[in-house]
Amino acid sequence: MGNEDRPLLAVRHLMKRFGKGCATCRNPQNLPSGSSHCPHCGSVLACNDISFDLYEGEILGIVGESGSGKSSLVQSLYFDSPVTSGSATIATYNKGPRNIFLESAQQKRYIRNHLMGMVYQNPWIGLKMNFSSGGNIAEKLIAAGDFNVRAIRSRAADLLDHVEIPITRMDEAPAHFSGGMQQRVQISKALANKPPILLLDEVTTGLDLSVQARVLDLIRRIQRENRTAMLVVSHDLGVIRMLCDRTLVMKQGRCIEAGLTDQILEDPQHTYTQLLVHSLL
Amino acid sequence: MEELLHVDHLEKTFTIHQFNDKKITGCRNIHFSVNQGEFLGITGQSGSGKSTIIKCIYRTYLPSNGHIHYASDRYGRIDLAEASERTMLRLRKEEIGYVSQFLSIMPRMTALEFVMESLLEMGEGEAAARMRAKAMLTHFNLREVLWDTYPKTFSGGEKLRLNLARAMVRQTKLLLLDEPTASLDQASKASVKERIQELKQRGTTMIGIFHDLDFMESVVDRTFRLQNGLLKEAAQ
Repeated sequence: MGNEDRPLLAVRHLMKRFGKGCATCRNPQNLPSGSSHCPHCGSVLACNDISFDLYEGEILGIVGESGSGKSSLVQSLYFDSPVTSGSATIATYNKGPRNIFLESAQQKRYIRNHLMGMVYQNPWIGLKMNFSSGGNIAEKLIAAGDFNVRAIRSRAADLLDHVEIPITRMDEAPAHFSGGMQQRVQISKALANKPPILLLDEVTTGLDLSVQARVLDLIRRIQRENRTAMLVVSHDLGVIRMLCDRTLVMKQGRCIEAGLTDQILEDPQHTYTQLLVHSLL
Repeated sequence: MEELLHVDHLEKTFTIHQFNDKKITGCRNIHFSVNQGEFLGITGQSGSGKSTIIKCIYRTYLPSNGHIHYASDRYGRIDLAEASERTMLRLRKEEIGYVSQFLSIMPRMTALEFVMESLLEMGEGEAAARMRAKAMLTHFNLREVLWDTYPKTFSGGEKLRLNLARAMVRQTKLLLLDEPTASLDQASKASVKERIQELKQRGTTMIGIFHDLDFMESVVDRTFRLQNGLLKEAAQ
């Protein structure tokens, strides 16, 4: 039981500020309510005191309008941009329960390469478009310390097969692929190092419905087969409803509500969540 | 007999922020208890708060006040009104089932996969899950030709029977039924009744909401009637 009751990823008081900050906005209580914008220095608090736990095998949803800080949150966790303050710990990190934001660049690289996978909304960020698809996956495997060419090729073929990309197109560059295929190559790249934590940022946004259904199915399969813990960021309540047991609602950098997904959808507590749920088609 | 569920002073009020924090009472001052293996029926006009009670127990609704004491196998006596989300998820997976009137299914999942998933989640093997799921679909008279199709186009009755098959294929300790016979013909009702009796024999405790009073009286042990959000035990 032990493992199931210990969060795999624990995030506490995460702050991400764009801008210098001033005496006023260093204390976020001073910000006008309902705004993430400091009236004095013009800084924006993209993530304002975000705390949550993510458990093994769990898909946690993060929902909110554009500009609510969802992407800033996952990008901070993947070390794409530094946090302003706050902590995150990973239970299986071999250095122990340390704040990963304070680790050295080398250790951060280790965490990225061994403990996390990230899928960006825009495949152009997550993939090298002019490398072959197999090469993209190889890059991640090499970063994770795998140097056997034959093993890498066979793993890449497995991964592409898993996301239903024909192996015959393994040596083709993703630039030639459709958006849905690019997204699936990106997912297989993120999965290459078998990360215990997967961050998915609006992965189905902009895909047509039939491709979306395939990607959702893939995500569910990964969860079932590998017990991967996932953070699914989306503004689409339908996607959240299908995938997530628990959900956080963000607005203007703050977490305004958290709960069981069916409860968030059927008995929303916060004004904004009520508005959001009633805006559903 | 041992008490499985004890609801005490349960109250649910919805606050609608968009309309000047208008308050709507779902139910209030609800007391009742259910013994292990018992089947409790709840009746009342639509809008009287029947579903509200069931959804509070399943925690799809957050109770505003009161307690829902439940005798869990894993956690012992626990107040569902205050249980953590993780605890609720665990209980939903292992002990408490819920059948709604509506079908909610992943896109492109077949009827058979839908029923199997419920068993796979509980750790059952693929082959065994397939076998039991098929048996359950047969039991609910869902035509075999439909098993490997997507349920989106099923008739109302077929969807409902599929929901029942999914919930009843796993033997939970407590099963919540939200109008399980709403759009069923006589033959389907008979198979639901049979299945309910089977579950009862195996010791499943059930709470059900019904409009069909004849059906209800044929399966339940006790009946409660909801009027204006207040619950009264009906004379036997």
